[in-house]
Amino acid sequence: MVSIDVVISILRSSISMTVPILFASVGEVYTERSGVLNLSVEGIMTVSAFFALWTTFLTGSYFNGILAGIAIALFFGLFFAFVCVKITVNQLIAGLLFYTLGIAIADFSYRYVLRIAVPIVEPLPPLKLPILRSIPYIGTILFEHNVLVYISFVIPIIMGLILYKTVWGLKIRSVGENPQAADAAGVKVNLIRFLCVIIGAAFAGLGGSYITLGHLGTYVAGGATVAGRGWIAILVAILSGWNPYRCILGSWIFGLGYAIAAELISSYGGSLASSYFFLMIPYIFALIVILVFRKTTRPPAALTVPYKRK
Amino acid sequence: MSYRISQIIESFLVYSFGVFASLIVLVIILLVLGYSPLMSLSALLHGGFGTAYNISQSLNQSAIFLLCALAFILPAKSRFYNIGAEGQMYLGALIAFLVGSQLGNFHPAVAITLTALAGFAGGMLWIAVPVLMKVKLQINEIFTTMIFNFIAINLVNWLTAGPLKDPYSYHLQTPPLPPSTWLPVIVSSTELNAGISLSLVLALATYILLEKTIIGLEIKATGFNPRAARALGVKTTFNMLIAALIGAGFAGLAGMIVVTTGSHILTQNFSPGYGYLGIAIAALSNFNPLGAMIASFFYAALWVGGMHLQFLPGKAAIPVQLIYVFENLIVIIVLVVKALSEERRRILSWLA
Repeated sequence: MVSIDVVISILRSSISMTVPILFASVGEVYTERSGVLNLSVEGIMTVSAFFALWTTFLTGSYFNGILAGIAIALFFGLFFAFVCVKITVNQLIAGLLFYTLGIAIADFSYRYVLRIAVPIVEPLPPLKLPILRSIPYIGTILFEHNVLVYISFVIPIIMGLILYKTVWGLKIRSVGENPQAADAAGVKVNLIRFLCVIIGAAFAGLGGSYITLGHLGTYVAGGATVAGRGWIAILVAILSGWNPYRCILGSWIFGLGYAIAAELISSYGGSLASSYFFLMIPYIFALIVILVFRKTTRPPAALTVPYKRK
Repeated sequence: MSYRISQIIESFLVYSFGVFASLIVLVIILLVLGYSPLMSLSALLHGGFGTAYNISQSLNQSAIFLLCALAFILPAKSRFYNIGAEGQMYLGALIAFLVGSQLGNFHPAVAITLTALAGFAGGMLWIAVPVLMKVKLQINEIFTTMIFNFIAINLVNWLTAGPLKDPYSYHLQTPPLPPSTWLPVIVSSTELNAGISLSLVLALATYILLEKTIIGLEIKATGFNPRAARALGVKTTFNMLIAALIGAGFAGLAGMIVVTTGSHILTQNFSPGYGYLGIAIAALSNFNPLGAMIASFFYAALWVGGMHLQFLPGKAAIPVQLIYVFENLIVIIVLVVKALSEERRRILSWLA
């Protein structure tokens, strides 16, 4: 019999596991809505995860770390946008190359700094919200997290309002649906796409920074830091029908998979072998989620189609 | 004819320029990080090509890279983007190990053949679900094959740390395979094993399949325009299934080569991303199996040379991951240069 404490503990950690996926998926919604498929989210998150950790380790400031994580992601996004929007290299191939490039850069940097020090930081302290935290059960599950968690639940709402209620959002959607018509109406197609790729990268960077600063406190080489969350974020963007609001629920479902695995490891993962066994759970969970939620809405019509003026 | 020659010259220029530009980036990185570019690059060249022994290591590595590249190229021709070569290789290694460890009393020819078939089957097993989800439910294969990579790595991690672990070893690895399953060394006094000939034969076979046979034509038609192909009576589902299964089998075979050479064991994280590098090699060679032969040797030599950079004395030692960065950069820069040269040709033809 599963006790109520275990359920609360899983739900609490599912909220924390949702955050990196949520940031990255909202960013990817923007990228894809503008007609660009960025498959390198996992790579960007890994680079940001490392540089956020290293900056915080050096300066002692979480704020600096997050800024560094976003900055390196912006740089990466700019490079990707140059290759895919300006030069119009195949987005799928470029995305995969940037994914491995990101992991390689992060792993190289990690090995390089290991000669100086092992970067470890204390994860961001929780910001327990007064009054709200004293609600039974819900207070523990929702309102005893660090500040990035609260931000991550406001961001999709702001980004959704921008996408659906403002002229900017209309421009983004039109560029992804019918770039020729948007261009004829005076919208700068490739400028919007550049911006959306960069916005997407910045959010992926924020998500990556959360993994090391808000959750792990350290970096694990070989792609095990982000551990597939970047790929899952792209999935969430697609399965949510490119809707920032629905990303909240979508990310939470996958976050739950990671939380269940983490709970099983801490309760039953006596040996190293069994913890590896439980680490398969989030991915099997993800496959099931794909099967259940596969019927989505139509993708943006110009997704992966580069735009060139005739 | 002259058009073809000018095309070859142009692509030669594109590749040389791409490699040269990434080399400049590499030198800048080395300088910024305080390494000596001359010393590092000469160590890289020596490590990859310096001695017959080093060349044999590069060739061995290129067998694995080539098979991983084929695992992307063949399915991609039917428009199935298999990015699961990494996981299929782990599964191939696992199944090959499980079967091979039972074959101690067999004649090597039989044992090696059965182990290779097991590896091939392991790769196919790992793409079965993604390819079925693709053809039956139209679920995007990029995500499913990727998810299967993560499952495969953790599966092998679990088995090598638990049920299959060598009880006498401190490391997380299995006991060695029986000698009857070891791939033979084909040039004495080097480490060159039969994996390279196997991979070259398979690359050639893939080329012939794609360019000289009906089924190859149908696979390409499936990828080029599935609706038109179906209207002409091509069995598109069947072709995609075949291309994906054979491709994944190649990746499984790469895993088999890994466990039947070297220390002859299955170990945790034996691949630092060979499967993904296969995609980079495929893109670099423009999805041509023959081009992939050359590209994978080039990449393998860089890779083996990169291993030597780690053992430079003291402060000069460079983490091998720098080579991973470099190898990805080369492809990105080559693709950019290629796109620019096509753009230039388009403008020229428009003017003329």
